[in-house]
Amino acid sequence: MSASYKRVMLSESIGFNAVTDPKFKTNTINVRFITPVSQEKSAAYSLAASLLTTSCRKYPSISALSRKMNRLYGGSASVDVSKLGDYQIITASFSALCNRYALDNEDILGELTDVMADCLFDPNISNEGFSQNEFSIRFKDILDTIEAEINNKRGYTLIKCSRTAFKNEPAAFSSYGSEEDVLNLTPESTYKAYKELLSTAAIEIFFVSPKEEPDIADKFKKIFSGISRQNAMILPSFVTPSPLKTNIAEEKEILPVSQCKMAMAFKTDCKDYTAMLLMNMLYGATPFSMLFTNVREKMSLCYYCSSTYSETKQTLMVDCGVLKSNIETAKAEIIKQLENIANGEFSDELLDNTRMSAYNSVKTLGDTPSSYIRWHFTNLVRGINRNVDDAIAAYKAITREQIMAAAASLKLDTVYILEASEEEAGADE
Amino acid sequence: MNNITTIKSKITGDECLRIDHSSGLTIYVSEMEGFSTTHALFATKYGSINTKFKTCKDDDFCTVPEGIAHFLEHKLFENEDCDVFSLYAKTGANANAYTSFDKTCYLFSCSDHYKESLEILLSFVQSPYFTPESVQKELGIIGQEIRMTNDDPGWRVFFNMLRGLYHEHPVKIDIAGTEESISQITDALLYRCYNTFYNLHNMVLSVAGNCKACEILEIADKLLKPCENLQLESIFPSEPLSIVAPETVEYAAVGTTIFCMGIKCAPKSGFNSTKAQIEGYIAMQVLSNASSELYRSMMEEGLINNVFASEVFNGDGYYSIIFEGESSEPHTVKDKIIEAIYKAKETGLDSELFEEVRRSLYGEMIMDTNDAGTVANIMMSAHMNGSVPFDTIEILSKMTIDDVNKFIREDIDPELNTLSIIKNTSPENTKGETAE
Repeated sequence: MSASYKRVMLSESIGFNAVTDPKFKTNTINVRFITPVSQEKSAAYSLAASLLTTSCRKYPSISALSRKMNRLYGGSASVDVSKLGDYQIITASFSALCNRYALDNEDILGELTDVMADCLFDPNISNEGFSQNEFSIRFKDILDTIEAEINNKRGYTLIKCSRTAFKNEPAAFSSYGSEEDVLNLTPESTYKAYKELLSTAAIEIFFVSPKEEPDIADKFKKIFSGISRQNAMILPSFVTPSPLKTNIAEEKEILPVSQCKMAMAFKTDCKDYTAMLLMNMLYGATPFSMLFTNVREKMSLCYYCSSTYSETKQTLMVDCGVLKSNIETAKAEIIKQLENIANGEFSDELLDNTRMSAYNSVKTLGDTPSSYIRWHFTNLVRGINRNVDDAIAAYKAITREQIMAAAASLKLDTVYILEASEEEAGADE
Repeated sequence: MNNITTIKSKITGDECLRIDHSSGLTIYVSEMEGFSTTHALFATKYGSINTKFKTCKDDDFCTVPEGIAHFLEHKLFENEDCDVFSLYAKTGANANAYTSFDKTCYLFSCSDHYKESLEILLSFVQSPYFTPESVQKELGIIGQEIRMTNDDPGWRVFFNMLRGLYHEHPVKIDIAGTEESISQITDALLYRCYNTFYNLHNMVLSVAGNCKACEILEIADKLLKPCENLQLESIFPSEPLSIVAPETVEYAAVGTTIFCMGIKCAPKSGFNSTKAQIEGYIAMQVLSNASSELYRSMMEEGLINNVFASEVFNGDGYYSIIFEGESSEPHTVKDKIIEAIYKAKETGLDSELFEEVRRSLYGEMIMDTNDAGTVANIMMSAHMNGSVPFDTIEILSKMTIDDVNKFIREDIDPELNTLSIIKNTSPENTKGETAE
């Protein structure tokens, strides 16, 4: 039997996506809550979500839940909070070995589904609020996570650049909320936010298993039928292009580090997503791209210099780590390489190789449960229903002229520099 | 003459082939039905710790600059006439390489054209091309890589911990070296290291996923250049079973204070190393993972947060147990961990928790065989460690609580600990300090 994908709606705003692929040894359940990013609510939703996958009424502490997952052969229950354009995506994931590996003939999948239902719909509460004990632990966790943003200097640079590039847009807010937002939360307000999230967010469920489970959609329908969904959002259009600033925003921050970091945000009004994606790969997303070949290999300016494209914000981000004395040279070269693409100064061989790389990434999508989920979720986000062959054909059809037009449409919007303090930068030069 | 053996796990049913190739190379292949990806690793047992070595052709041991194995990995990606990435670009493969403490590994993953990609992999790793100019050019790139890792507090707190544990063993040096040490690297030294460690007898090829053993063998027969076994010897300075410093404190731009605590144990080798790896892992999981009493109490007291973790750090001439995380009171965390280990030495582990962790590890090991990249890594690592693929799950199935309690009693001495701390930069104190 080969892999299959089936989507059914459990209600107007709850999609259930089942992927069956016999090569897998695990069952994976992935429940995604989609809601607008907002300064008022993101912190409460994040904190509520972290409480859901660390305890529930039946397993009232992380230790109790963790022991249950150990008994389910190293199964996992976790939550991830991320941002896609102007939307917050809260993903609760549950996964465990499939039943054929059970040593005592247990129904691992049945128990995993029960754990999911317990975690999402029967939380550890007292007096209309989350349990104070568990709340305090996750409250501290989320504050520490916000504080630790600075630990990863590359990630921090990209966050700071995004905040300036998307100023006054929801995408500028953190998916975890700010420290101040978190400090205002109580067990009661967080529980209220949890109930609001359940009733208002669009919900997409993914189930990836090695064999078809004929009753599983009905089982999920039953589990999710207990919540009130009158005010639920249906899956939104995720594309909310970020307007280009009249003047380029330039920001600098000085920290005691030894390497400077630079991030540059370019914006576009180009709607040709496939061409832009291919252009991004050719420009800075492969180890044979223009940025890698020139900024790193030929000029030895950086260890990393690469680009990523966000379709939802129609923004391309370039980032690199560089010596203070080389910042301007690197910046000029990054801009020059983009102009070179816009002017058609790239070989057919590079374009063919980029197409080959895109082909390779699409062809391997079915080798992990997470890549299946990413693929089908991206299709939903983009409002399309393409298969692998469609995607490959779309890449093949992109012409040199479309790549040039995509590059030409990008305009520099924001430059953020994390500058090494004089003392640190000079230490080894 | 090639010698082919089938290795099968009785427990999971997974199997792979081991090919002792006539060139001197050992090859592992796992054909995985239903997978589109092919994942290949070509690795040499040569990492940052191999700084002193000789072969049967040398009169004396040669000592090389810190970071040279990693430098060599970078330079091997440059052929005489092109960059290796541009060759892979034609096949669509996603290629990379990395250097660790004890190995250097070149890899690719792809959907189609794996045979062409494998030809590229085997060809470029066997065709070194170093010149004074190309060495000079790489200094800037690796210099930036070194600065990048220097700014990573997780990396720094870990290496500060290793420097607190190890007096002489080169595991304490940074894998990429320093900007100063790499400036001593020459093309001649790179050739010397290459000719010593990139001998097929010291290497392994591991391929998993969408592939066929007969096709791999055909390419191996065509491209592998037979090597004489040079009886390579790496030596490490004698390392006493004592620590260097009980504590290291450094200041950097971080959020909550981060810490890394190491407990030094006697090094293991061969089968004992694999067994001790699992015993140490289970012991740490039962004592300190999310299901433990220690974890629960430290969470409730606000001493740790969700990034707290433990690991076994095990290799050629070193073995230690590590706890890391974020805490405003790292000394209290250290005291609690030590207290829990002493208690376990006295009373043994909770038998119910032990069985749960063992069951969890069994599940994780099966899940690992569900990914082509992980399977290729399992086969490569087993070979490098002197064991057999799928051995770990067999060892686990026979492991008892008595084995793990014995390990805790006899192999872990909590007094041999060091605590590395990185605090947020304070204006008065921006430089590191080491308490002897």
